Amino acid sequence: MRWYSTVLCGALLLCSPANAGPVEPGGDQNLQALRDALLPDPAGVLRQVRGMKADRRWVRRMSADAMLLLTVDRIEGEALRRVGRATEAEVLFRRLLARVRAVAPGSELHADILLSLGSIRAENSDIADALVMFQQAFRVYGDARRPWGQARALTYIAFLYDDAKDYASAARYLRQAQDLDWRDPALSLSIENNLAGALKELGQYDEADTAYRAALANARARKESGLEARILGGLARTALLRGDAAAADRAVDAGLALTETGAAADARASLLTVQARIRLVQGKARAAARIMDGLTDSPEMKGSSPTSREMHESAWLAYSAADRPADALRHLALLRGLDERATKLATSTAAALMTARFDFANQELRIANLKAEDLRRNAEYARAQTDIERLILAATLTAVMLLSVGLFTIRRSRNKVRAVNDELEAANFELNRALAARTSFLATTSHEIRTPLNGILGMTQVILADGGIAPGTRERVELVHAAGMTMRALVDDILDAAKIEAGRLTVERAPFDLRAVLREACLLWEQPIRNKGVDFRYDFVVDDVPALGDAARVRQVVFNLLSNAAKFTSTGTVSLAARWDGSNAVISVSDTGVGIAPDKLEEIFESFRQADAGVARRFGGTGLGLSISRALARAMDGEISVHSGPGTGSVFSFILPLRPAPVTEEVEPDATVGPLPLLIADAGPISRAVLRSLAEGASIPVVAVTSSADAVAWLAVNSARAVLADASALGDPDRRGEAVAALAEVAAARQVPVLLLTGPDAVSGVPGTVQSIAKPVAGDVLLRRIEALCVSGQSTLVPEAA
Amino acid sequence: MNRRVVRDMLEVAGAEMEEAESAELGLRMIDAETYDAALIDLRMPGMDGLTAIRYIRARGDSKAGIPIVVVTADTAEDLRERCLAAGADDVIFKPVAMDTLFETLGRVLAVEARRGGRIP
Repeated sequence: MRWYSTVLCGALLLCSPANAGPVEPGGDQNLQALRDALLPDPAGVLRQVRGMKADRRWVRRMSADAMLLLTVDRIEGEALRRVGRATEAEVLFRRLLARVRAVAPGSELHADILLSLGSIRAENSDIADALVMFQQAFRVYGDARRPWGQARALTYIAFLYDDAKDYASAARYLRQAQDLDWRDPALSLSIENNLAGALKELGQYDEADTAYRAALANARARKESGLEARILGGLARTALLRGDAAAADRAVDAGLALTETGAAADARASLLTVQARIRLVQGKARAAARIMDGLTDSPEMKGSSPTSREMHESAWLAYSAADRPADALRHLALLRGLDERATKLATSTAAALMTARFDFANQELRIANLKAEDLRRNAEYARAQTDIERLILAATLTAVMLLSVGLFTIRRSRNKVRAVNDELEAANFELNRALAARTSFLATTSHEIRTPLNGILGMTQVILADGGIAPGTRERVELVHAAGMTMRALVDDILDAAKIEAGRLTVERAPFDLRAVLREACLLWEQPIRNKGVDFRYDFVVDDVPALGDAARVRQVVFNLLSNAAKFTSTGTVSLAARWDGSNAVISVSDTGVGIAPDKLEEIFESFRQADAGVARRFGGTGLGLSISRALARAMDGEISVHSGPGTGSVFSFILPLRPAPVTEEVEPDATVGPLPLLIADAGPISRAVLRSLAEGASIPVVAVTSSADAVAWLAVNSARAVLADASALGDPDRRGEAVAALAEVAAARQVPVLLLTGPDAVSGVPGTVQSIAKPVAGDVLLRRIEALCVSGQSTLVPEAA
Repeated sequence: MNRRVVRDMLEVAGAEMEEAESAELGLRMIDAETYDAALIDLRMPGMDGLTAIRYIRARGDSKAGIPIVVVTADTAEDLRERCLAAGADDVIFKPVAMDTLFETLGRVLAVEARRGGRIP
């Protein structure tokens, strides 16, 4: 795959140039030397690092400097990777990632490790994982203000897209990398060269030419003749595609001149291949074939790199033109083998990227495209084979026996061509269907769903707000409301998936209370689960420590997991548990439901996948919940894993790394120890919200209730700075006086001042201890009264628990 | 349908609402009457919601400061920013949750009240 084959980008990117990489903390000069030696001599670096770590005195001396030790480990990991011990490197990097998250989360080193680990995952073709890690690295570099690192992360992401043959995305990411503010000639060279390649594939030859020329100047300035020769090759290919054979020839000659001198010798075969193509364009088939003859024994002919592919293709074309069908067929067969493999790789890479990005219909479309291309090539192969068989036939016309066999072969080959053509048509049909699927997907997510949903949910809310409806009616309307809410959740899921697909998912880091989120989840799910006749249990062993995280996203994941458990469990128990494991919260949802077969365990995390197609019919849902949950978990640096078997239920574990919130963060005011709140009683939801906002805007904590009776009940157990009661909270218009008196009495006992807001009709029998103000009143006037009231309230009061 | 939903919700809160079938009509109603707040949809026949908001904010009188809440079924990502940039005070997404409607109205009315607007 690209990772290995494109030596140019790989080599340049993976080294850490001394002029760009900032000196690591720890200040050990040896480290820079080790890093510089990584590229030319990884085995030597590995020996040296292992030697350092074996030296106990050194380790003791450095033990206080955790960052330095981590940096040394990272160099060891990079060295292991380069000597081909990727598995060991991965284990080391995974351990390092956990440590750096504890010691220095958000540091440059954290991002470096993510980048290394992502590269290993990419080499193992785990594209989805790699993409997530590169994206995390990009974010961490951004937070650490390291544009150079961000540019590297973007370049790695671009490589993934390049592998998937999604050149437009690759070019976009490379350009983004260029736009950042950094200086590193080696990295710019790599980006320019890869950008030129992508532009060439996109047919933007002028832009490709410009990018190649920038790369060329850069390579010349750095005296990298090997790279220069390769770039000249790219330049020549671009010129050829543009139809400028003369310019292509000049570039190849310049490149070949460089290969005389050793360092660039590697590029020779590739340059000669381009030369053969030029000769073909010039109509010199024999010259082209001669060039390819010279390359028959070159090692590149046996490999599977893009260069090998190009060589076989050129050989096929050259020999066909030079009337050497047997040689042509041999190379076409090899080419087809390579292409099949490449298509498979690109398809799986694209599929993985798409899964990572949750690109639904697009994924189908692109795969259908690739399949069609593959089939077209098969058709071509079958046709070529028929032609060649016909040639063989002509040569053996004299033998009648052979003739009949030959005719039979031709018929068979023709049938083969026809069959492949039929397949091609079927693929085209699939392509059109995928296009239609994408269109309908966009149509469903449109504005149009929310509008009628607003009508349904709006009216159910209005009906349910009426206390006078019959209980039976209420229950039915509640059902309609719940169904509408489910539908709303589905629409939100689809939009979320689209956001993830576009890479626009963002997570926040704000102080939040994990327990509160979990309690909320219980409140919401306990009843619906019990209503199914399934037991619901929960067990939280997590402290009430405010942590930094994204409450809404954590809630979404826990809700999704519970909704999933509820959906697939018809008897037994669903339980929600939470505990700490180091700095990670582990939230698990277990059920005794239908379970999942071992071979489906990963599939369920793919978008629109449920364990089997019948599941959707039996249990409903979009099948997006788990894939979204996993993407969310990963965006929060966490993970979701599953243990299950058919019939034995499932356990989903959501591992969430949480950093404690800084102690300086403002904590939610507590009525018992903090400043006492202003108690607001108002029956009107809007005016209640106005009063609350008004007071909170002046930094006065608020407790709001809907009636004076509730206010009385609240004051029976709590205290307040002051009470602000609106006449609407006094209930029955004929008994307002009594309501005010009751409130005044309990307030007086607590020495809490009361301010009554009266409307057009006066309230009779207001006790003297109660102040009042008549509406309409300007907000700023009322606020001054409230502030004065609060001050007087506080001066007469000693907070209970202070 | 959607105007009816909001009207019924506001009725639950004891607030009154007058409806306009288009932005042009809404602008004329603001000319003629004094309202506590305006709820504006984005997609309307004729003038769109954002343009209507700009017209209101460009008024020379005190009505230019009326609290404006956008109610929309659009979910484009930068929508909130675009609405705020046009001069809206807040945005509510459909399907409208009644609590959110009340809370949001309360919040924008409180901002206006702090500047001397009356308490409802």
